[in-house]
Amino acid sequence: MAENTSTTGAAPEELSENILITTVDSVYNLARSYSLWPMTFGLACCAIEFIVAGTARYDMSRFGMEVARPSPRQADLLIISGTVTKKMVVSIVRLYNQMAEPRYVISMGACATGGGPFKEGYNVVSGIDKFLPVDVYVPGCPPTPEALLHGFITLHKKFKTQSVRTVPWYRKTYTGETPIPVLGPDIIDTHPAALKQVRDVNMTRLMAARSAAGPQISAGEGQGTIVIRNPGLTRDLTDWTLQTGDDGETYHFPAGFVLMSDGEVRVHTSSGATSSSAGDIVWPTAQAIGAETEKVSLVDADGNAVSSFEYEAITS
Amino acid sequence: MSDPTVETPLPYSDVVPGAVLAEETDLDGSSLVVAADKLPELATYLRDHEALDLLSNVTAVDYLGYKERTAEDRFEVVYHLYSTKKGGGPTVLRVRLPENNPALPSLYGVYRGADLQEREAYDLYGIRFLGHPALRRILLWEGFHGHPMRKDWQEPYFEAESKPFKSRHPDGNYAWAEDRNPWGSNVQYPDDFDPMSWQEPVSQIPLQSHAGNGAAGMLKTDRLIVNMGPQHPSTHGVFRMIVELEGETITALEPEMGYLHRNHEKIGERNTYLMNMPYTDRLDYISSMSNNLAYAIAVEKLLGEDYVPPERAEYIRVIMAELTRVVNHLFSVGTFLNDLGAFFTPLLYAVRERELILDLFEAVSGSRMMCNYLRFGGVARDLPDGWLAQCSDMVFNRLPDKIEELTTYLTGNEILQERCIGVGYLSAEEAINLSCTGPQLRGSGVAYDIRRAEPYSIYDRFEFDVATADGCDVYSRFLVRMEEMRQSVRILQQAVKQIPEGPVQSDKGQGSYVVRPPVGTVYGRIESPKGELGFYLVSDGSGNPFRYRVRPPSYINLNALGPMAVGNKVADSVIILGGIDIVLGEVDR
Repeated sequence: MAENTSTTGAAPEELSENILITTVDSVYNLARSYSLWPMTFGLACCAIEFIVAGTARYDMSRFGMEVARPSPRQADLLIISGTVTKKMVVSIVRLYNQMAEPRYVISMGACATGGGPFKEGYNVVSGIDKFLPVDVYVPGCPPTPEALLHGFITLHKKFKTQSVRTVPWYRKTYTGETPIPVLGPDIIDTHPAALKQVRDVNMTRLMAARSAAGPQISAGEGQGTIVIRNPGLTRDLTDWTLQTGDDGETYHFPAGFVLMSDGEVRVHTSSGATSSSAGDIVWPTAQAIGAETEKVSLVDADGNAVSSFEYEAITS
Repeated sequence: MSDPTVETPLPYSDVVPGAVLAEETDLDGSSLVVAADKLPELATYLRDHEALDLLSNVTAVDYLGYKERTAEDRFEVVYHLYSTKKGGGPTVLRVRLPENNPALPSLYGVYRGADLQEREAYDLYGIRFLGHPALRRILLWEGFHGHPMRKDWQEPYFEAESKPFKSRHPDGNYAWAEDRNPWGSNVQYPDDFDPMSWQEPVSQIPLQSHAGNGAAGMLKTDRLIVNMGPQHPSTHGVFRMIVELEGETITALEPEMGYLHRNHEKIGERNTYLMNMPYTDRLDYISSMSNNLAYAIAVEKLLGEDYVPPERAEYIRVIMAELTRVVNHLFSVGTFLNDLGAFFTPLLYAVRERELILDLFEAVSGSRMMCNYLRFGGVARDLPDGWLAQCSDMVFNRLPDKIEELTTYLTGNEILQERCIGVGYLSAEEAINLSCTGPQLRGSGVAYDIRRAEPYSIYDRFEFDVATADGCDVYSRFLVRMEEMRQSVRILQQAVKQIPEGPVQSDKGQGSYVVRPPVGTVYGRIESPKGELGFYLVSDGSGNPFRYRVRPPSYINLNALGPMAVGNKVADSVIILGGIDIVLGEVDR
């Protein structure tokens, strides 16, 4: 640094041999790199290799990393060492949220990275990066301790690319909070986009179920009354018919007759039937339906019986 | 055969009339079909009069679509009963249940060890065990939709019923499962579920109280509930304990698991038989070779005579299994000392020896931990040159010294004794009744070791003692592990000397990737380092197991956690758990 002092002349003569001029970022990153404290947190098989990486043969203290902290408040590296299950991911995201910035995540092994051999399982999350930002992926099943050490070195290299001026965690607006998923009938990601996806899927399925459901007919109150209910989507009943079983009387719905979704309509039958309320249908039959055992069917435009029911003979 | 006019009476028809409906023959012995309502009565009789005191395995099977099965007998619950006094093979009871209301009486009152296994069957199959005190979900969470092990339940990214799947690289392009099954087309939500309005149910997990080891009753304080885990440095993984305290004394303890439930059995039913071999590595990931052995033995029982391993392969298997036992106990003792507060130093020494054994594993299999080395009818490849010399150096010179070194520093250590002696008391009767196996059972003075009681592979040729200690406490379990390491070294020394030259695969087993065993059921078990590791397999004649069930020793040993911990201090719950020696990959599967 002698040339520096000679050009600026700022440092006193007696200190000129002892001053090192560098950037804040270099010092900041050097200090962070070699005092990275991982959390004592093991999920599955990979955790054993993580433990072993700390023992004499691999000795991760060479990288200043042996101080494993059981509390997330004191740790700044979360190593996802194993299969992430739906039941566990809730806790993992909570732990991540409790860690102080700057914090880093290493996804160790095939399972944490993408589900690994257990990806197809019903309780397995296919990769922690669906929920947390991951800095370094370490491949392997399980990765050897050497591979994990390489992951640490890769993370240190990442530090060197960061600058104290641009890192997000010193910004006032930054929270770094990650939405915590919840356990419902399945795991539910609480990211707004993911929630919307769940709802869309459910709506689609509900609509599909409803469009499959046809109008249903049943006996109404009072003799000779039939109720048509539509639990499904709104339907046009043009060319649909109501038919009785034995004497083959048929009622044709008027053209353009529409039955709303969740709507119902009453049909009054008998020779001189009248409608007591607007909107009801009058079907002038020879005899009020239901006076004797009789089957009534609702037949669609193609001639398929959609719904039918049978009157028990009513003794008046 | 017998005169058709004189019917042989069904077994036990004189003592429990109407209990046994039929006697059936499986590939590995006979079994009894039992009427559901008479099951507890028959089990009580068998326990008290036939000395069948160990309920080892409770398996639920869904026979949907299986040959000749109808809705009337869709479900089956299989019980394997053993005798710790007489040894030998199992008595197998089968209860068949209809599709619409699968319910049967719980055996909790007869064998307390049925507790966790019945809860698992309820969780995964929806079979209800009437009279079980806390029939709740155990591996999944309350509110999960459906019972996933049923044959008609499909996972969200379901591709096909059985492997091998169609190419994942059609035309050289990788096709993601997510793209072929877009999310949502296969997620099974209840119809009325709306994520926007849905609230997570808040549940207070009720605690089982155990009338136990004399909880302090002098000074009453408020009931305090402490949650440990799933993120806790001393729970050996993602295990959770909910502890109720009176002062510092535990009055109740509830284990909560499933945080590593990775659907081993469901995936296993989709896999071909051989594809499951690497998955077994990941069960008890400390001792993968043992898991391989148990699975290979079970499948070989199914496959029959063509797949009997040749001599050399049997010796290699024994060597690997015993090296695994040493590895497991070294790691177990090391982490146990961690729990006691001797943070990392004993573990460093234990892991040093483990690493050397892992080098041996890596030399034969190519992998340190997930060895995937055994095959049906033998092992994957012969030992490399110089391996045996390296191994004998290990078992004759290095290991005995190092085990003695650990013994010198640990066994007589005053702090260790103070912390362990008298802690986590479990009497022999209780241990058997709670279905404990392995060092936990032998630490209660019961000399039950499957290598002796029902020898498999070639264990009947070796001289060794069954390690026991009768302190019934954590210290005894520690002593058993230390002694077992010595006995394993003794077996290893004999095996390394005696191993013959020859092939390492049976002729039929050579390069057989897809095996199609005959129709039938088998249960194969070994003495794994943690206890009885068994595989119950149902074959329908295809290349995939119809039912693939693991009898996980660490899971079933956890039955005893509550009863052992009650009455001790909360700090001791950690070492009681450490004394069971669980591995979460096996507990949750």
